[in-house]
Amino acid sequence: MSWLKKQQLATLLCLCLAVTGCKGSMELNELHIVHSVAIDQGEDGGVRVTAEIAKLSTGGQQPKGMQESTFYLTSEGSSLFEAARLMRTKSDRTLLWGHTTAIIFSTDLARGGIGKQIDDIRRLRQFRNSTLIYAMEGRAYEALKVSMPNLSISSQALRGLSEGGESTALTEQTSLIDVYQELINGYKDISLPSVEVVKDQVDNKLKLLQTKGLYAFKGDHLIALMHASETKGYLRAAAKMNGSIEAVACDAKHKITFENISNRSEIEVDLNKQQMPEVNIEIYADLDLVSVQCDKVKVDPRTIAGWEKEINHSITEDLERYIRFSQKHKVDLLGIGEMIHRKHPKQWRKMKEEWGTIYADTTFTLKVHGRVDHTNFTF
Amino acid sequence: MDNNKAMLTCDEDENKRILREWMQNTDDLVMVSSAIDLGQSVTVCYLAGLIDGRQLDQMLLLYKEDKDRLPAFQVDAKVHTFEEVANGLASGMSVLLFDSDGYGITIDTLGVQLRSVDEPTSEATVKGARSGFTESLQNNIALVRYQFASPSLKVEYRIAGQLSKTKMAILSVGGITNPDILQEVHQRIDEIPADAILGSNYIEEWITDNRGTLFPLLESTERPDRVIGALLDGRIGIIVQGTPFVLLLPFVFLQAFQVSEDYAWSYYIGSLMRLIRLFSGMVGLLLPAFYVATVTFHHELVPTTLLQSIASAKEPVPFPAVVESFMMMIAFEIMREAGIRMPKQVGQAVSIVGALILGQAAVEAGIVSPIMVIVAALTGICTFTLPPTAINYVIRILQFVMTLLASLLGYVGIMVGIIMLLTYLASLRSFGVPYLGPAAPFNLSELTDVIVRRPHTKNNKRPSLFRVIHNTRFRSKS
Repeated sequence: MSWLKKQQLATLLCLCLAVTGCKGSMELNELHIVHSVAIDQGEDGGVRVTAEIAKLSTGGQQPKGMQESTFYLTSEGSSLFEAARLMRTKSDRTLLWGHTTAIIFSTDLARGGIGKQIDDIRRLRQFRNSTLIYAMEGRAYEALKVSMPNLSISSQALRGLSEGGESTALTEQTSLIDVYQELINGYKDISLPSVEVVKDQVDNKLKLLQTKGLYAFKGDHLIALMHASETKGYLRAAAKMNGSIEAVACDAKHKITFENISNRSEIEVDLNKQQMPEVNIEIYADLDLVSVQCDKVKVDPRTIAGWEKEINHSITEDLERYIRFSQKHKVDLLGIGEMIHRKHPKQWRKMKEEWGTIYADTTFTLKVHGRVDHTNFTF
Repeated sequence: MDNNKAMLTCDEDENKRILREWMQNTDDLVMVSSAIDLGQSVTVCYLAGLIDGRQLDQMLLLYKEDKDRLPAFQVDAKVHTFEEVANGLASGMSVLLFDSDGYGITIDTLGVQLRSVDEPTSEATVKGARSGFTESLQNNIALVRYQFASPSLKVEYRIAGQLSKTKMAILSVGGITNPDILQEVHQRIDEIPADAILGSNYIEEWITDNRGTLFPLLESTERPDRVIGALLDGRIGIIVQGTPFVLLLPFVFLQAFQVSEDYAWSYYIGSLMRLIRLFSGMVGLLLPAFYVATVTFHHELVPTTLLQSIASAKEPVPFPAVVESFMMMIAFEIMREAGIRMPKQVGQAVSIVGALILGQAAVEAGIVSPIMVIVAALTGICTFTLPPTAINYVIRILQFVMTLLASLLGYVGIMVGIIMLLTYLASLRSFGVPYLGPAAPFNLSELTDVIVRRPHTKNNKRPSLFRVIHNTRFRSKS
């Protein structure tokens, strides 16, 4: 290659870089980082989007990180995308949606279906798969305005709260990709953790966020709220439970409390002679004794066996509550339908259309094998 | 002096006159006539200051006692021409001119005060040998021979530089070194047309395979143990008079991450140190680029909490990230250069000013963000972990290129840079040896002594990369 040609090539390469380069680059101080988004029903069937944006304080020697305060921008549009774009008219910087940690849907909107909104969010490509999704009774943006004692950015508070589900089994982390996957696959119905704004029991002025219970969906439509014991039953049956509290009575007033340390569930589905599904759920739970409120409790194998019996009973009750709930509302959160589909594809084709009614009549057999492992030096 | 073959005459005065002319009438030329024997007078010529007077006296006395002991005078040749006499004088010999007979003999009486053997300053070690090369060619050869007392070590003298007449020694090991490479080295050295060779880098630039490249194709070291290790791998050493830096060739890229100290520690420690060096080489090359690309193009990749910290630190800074990083990197380079050049007495002042102004005050004034200070400092320190081959400097230069590419195209730019760099490196050769070897062409068993360090007991093969004749180091007995 001649020297001239080499030079021309080099110039061309440099030009390519210089002309096409820098496109899409964005300095950090030209951006607003959106931390959480609330999606409400707008006027005239539109969508109202509220974004919680971190306020960056300047001049300090030490960056404050997630302790910064936040501000809110709200806009309405006929679609989520339009509303989000129109928000730019009120914002002095480009909005960076990629760091959204939590999206809260209002139940009003969710009753009409969240499928379209989830679809829109997926199309925006910036959102992370791990973005957490919540549903809230009333106006969703109010949840953003609650400032938790140590965290002013509510997305962090929401993330922390849903992690608490691992020890209470009253809520569950549900991410964008989970929801999207279930909506597309249709293997089972989805549930979203509920958020509510509550007052602190001691300091009445202090408003707190609380995550307790799950909203059950049929397709992409919100159906009803599962309360504490139903949620527990569902999480146990779905083997999504890590830790929880179980209590059994030891005398008229007092209780013995156990901590659930592991939980396994086995679901078996079959069709009986009438081609009706029969579901067997077996639960294996390990528990530790954590608190004894009664006097004169002697721990020996016989008492432990007695406790185990009572625990089994109370766990069965939770499960039954969940099953009653799901049959009443015809929501199949455990994916029983898909299990039949995989085992008996031919029969499933006939059942598919009326799965809701069939599910409501399905017989469930529950077997719980609770075991008290450790008594933690309580004699 | 048109006639280079001017022969010594038989006339004493004539000889003196012509010799003086040959030596440009220099004032430090001493010529003393003395009668050594009855009827025979000699002229003793030398350059004052360059010779050891006591040694010369001793030689003359010995000669007076017994003329047949000529060999003891380190005289290998009688000299007959003025040119030979002049060259001998210039290189520190004394010349005895037998005026009546028209010839002279040269006596090696060189006596210059040189630095003694010292710890090498550029390649310090914690564990391992502490002697380093000096400016004396003979001494440097002796240092190598002392630790490698084998008759297979071969030393070949060469002289380069028409004016400077710099002596150099080419070291190789018979039975290991590939004779083709050795011959190539001889040929390239013989073809050097330069008038003066004032250091090993002069040689390096003349004999390198690719004169336009940024990358060093020869290695230079101050440590005898490193030279011996290289010789045993089938490489060739060139010691140049007047420099403590010995050239080693062929040189491949991955050797820039090796230190002789690796072999002084247990192989776990040695391997770990080597991996750290490789890692910090990469960090040194890519960290500023990675930072710039991340904060200008790929904000989504940073964890939210970290991004929030970076953003609030970056908030008061008026410059784009790339400008900020260039400022810090240039400032660091200036500091480093100042650190080498400044007299030791002002060292403290520079370091205080540097640390305070560049570190703290620049952040407080909102000119750079604290994250950028960390990035620049880490990058700078990372390059110091590498042994002081020129790769060090190359990495620093490429840092800027990478950062520029990153600021234009983000991670794509970095990838473009890395691909172009690797392609280029793969195209380089050092005395016919591929520069990226043994990584490309790939050789797993040899890589085990390049990326990490092999235990001495398992190190029974010499690298085939340098095309050694005999590639077994030893046979294990078991």
